[in-house]
Amino acid sequence: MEAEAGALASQAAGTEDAQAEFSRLVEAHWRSAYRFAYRLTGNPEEAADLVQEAAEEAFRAFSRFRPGTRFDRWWLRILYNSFVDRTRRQRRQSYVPLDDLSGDMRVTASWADPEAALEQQLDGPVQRALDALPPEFRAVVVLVDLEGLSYEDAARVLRCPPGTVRSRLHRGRLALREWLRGYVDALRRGELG
Amino acid sequence: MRHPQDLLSGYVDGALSAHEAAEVAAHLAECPSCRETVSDLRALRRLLAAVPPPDPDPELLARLLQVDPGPRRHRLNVPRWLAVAAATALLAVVSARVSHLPPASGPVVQELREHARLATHAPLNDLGLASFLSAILQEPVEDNP
Ligand SMILES: [Zn+2]
Repeated sequence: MEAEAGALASQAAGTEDAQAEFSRLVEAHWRSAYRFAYRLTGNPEEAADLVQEAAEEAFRAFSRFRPGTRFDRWWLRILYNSFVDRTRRQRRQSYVPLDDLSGDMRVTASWADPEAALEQQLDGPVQRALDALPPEFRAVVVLVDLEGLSYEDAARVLRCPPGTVRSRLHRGRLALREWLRGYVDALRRGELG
Repeated sequence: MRHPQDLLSGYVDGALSAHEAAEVAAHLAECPSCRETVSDLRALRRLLAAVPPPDPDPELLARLLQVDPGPRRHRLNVPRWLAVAAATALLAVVSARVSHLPPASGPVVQELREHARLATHAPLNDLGLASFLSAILQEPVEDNP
């Protein structure tokens, strides 16, 4: 009896430890989870919702998380999964096929005040361009170019080979280059940053 | 001349093997169009890196730290306003009953208070609330398939 009670108590303590550990990790990484979700969805409410859903999923699966590996990558992976499920369910957005890089998606920039443009107005045009990318291309660009992940880490989050990361990244970038042509040219002329 | 395609992105990112990087460099020396692409890719990378990060609402962290999802199927597809209204009504009912209980039943009062608190906190996960809702809706509240 006593041994049983002891085992139960230590199990309960273990659960509490796991909860405390989970909270600590969430607190350390919620901002990067939110940034990824925000760039994927292009919408603050939906992003918060997605982060919450991924946190619930991660909490349920937390016993499978291997301590010593990176929690943020693991969580982003769960988050990306949830996102893919959502986009499959919703199917409401239309993406620009990447073979068609012609004019109508191009985001034209005005250069009244280049400094202000770089600080403030970048978010809108870049997000609109990201939104137009098919989700699997958008995810790679966000992870590598906005979040600074290596190809290997991005591949782990997206569950694909690093070679796939490189080719998707390249095609995504070529599309963004056309759609954000005004900014790219201005940067090359040294008018920005 | 075959253009190195996505190796150009790898080149810009410094993510190629020494051998691949040398191949690309040799190609760039010969190919103005790929040189142009590489300059564009570098500019694009700087552009994307300069996008200000979005600022999450601190309220989100508070929500995340109370994560206790329970099994998914217990989530009811009830409009939020109704759930909130019902939770408020439930709290009122429970509080009224609690106030009529004799003082001796301290633990029960505690229990009911705790339940009422949880019910207002996470109304959509609350089974007590589910039966309450099915009573006021006069039809069974079913789990989502
Ligand atoms: Zn070439």
